[in-house]
Amino acid sequence: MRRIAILLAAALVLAADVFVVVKEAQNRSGSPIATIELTEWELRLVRPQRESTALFLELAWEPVWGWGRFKFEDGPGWFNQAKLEEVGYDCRLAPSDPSAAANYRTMTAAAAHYRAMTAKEAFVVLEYSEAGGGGVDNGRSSRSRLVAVDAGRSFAPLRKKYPDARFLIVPSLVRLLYIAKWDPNTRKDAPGAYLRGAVVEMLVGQISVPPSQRSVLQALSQTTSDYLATPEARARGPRYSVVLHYGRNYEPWIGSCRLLASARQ
Amino acid sequence: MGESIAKHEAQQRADRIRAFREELAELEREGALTLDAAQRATVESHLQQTLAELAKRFDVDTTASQKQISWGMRIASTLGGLALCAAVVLFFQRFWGSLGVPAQVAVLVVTPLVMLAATEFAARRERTLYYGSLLSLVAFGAFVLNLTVLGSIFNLTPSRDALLAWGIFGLLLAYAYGLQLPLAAGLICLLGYLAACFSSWLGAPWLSFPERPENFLLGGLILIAVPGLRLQRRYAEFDWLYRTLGLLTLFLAILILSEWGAVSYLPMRQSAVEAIYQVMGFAGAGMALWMGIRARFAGVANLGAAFFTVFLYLRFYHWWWDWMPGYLFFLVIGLISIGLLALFRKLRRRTAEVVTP
Repeated sequence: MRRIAILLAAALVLAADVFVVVKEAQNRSGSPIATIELTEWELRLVRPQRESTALFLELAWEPVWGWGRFKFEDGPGWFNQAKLEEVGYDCRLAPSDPSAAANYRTMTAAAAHYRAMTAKEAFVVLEYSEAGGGGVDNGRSSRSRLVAVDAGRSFAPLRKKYPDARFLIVPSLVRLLYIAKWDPNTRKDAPGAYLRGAVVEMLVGQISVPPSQRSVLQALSQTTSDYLATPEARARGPRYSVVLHYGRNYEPWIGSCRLLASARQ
Repeated sequence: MGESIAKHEAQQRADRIRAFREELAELEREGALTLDAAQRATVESHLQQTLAELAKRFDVDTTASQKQISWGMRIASTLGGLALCAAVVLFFQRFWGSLGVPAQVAVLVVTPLVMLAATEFAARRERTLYYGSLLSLVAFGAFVLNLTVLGSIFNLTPSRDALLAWGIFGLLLAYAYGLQLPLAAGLICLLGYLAACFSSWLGAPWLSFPERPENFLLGGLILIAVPGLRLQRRYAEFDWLYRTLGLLTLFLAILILSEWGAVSYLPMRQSAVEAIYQVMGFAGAGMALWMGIRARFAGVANLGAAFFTVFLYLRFYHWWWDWMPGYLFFLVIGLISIGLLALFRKLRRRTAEVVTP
């Protein structure tokens, strides 16, 4: 009996690993569904731990999400209530209410209802725009030039709508945000509220650098966040570019990496 | 597997013999019972023989000091297992960069298999299973590392099925050798898997399952019910773990919902949800206390009492903290604690009356 249990445990390990490898092979079979070349500003070099020799690139996009991030904006932009409903949120309860307050014990029924909503999976369209994140790049910004421009529940309609290679369609987590309106004159919450969506996370946000490409990036002593803190980052620009592929299961892999000559010279 | 249960029963028998010897000595000192030399020799010889047999067959603790040392060994084995898990993870991360993908995959696949073999080897050599327990924990950690790192290397979308695989692996190890550490690890993974499934069925991504405590209620109830299953009766030594983990899951979920109803699935006002879970919390904790005393499950009774007190003090905080002066609030809490002590004492006395014929 004990021997059977141990053999089953060993078989489970092997079966799980075979499943992973087959899934990976399936993702990379045939030609990639998307290929795009991005720079360090869009794929940021990270090291998981101090002692780790693993290298990862983290996908960065605009607008970056964070609690309170959209508080002072005029409105929801493209990720409005209609789009939220399209990705599966139930927004029938009217969000507008004059007494929305910060404290969760005293906030309105609508605020409590919407703020408790969990994230949802959706495909997000990221546009690679040379103009820079949020359209503010004047050649010096280190912001990602991948900008979220649309979202939907399935891949095919979005690909049809955005066939160009500069659009990357990526499975992500999106979240509904309930935002009390802001009065810039009184610098206080104004009457009323609105709903907007935010792209909070890519399902595969960290991409492993394969051994074949590691030598290119290993020469860089600093991670991107450390590099951005130096004056050199502003003067020099991104240090590398990466060709990124997406396969059948919408999972990415790195095709090639190359170091860039100083972009500002 | 039967061996571990027999060992559990053997240890209980050894404990009873030790208690019997102590009580016999006490009775003789008080003059309530006097055995003549022949009787004493017969009883002592029988007890010695039984203990020697139990020690030989099952390596049980036959003295109080042996038992204390065993506890120390169990703690050392757990800490050692956790430390070795960390060592395996950090070792792999340290050399990850210098390995090609086939070598990475080979190391990841082979490590849990080698650890499984090592666990089996240790279990054959040592009946107390301290080394076996330690190595089984490393095997479990290696399998977690295996799937996590393979997912990272190939940039796979995270899947809840990994939790299921880890859970089954932990249970196989636990039931193979009668080990509680892999059982606890496996059950936690299975609780996570069930909660993730529940989250998906209700339209949320599985990754957000920790955000809704109600996702864990079903899993908690299942764990509490498992010791009642006929199949489980052969593994009675695991029962306390199922009950404790199940009750902890239930009470923690109810505690969060009773304080923050907004994270509930129930289509009601937040205050109504909180009120429902407050009532459920008191009823559940009270029931656990009552059942624990009745069925003599000390862990269940303690957990029930602890959560009943937490629920009660949280209510006091919400009712009185804002308007009562601090000194008065703590005075009232102190007086109520004294009242609770008196209540529990009375309850204790009543249970003693039930036990004493």
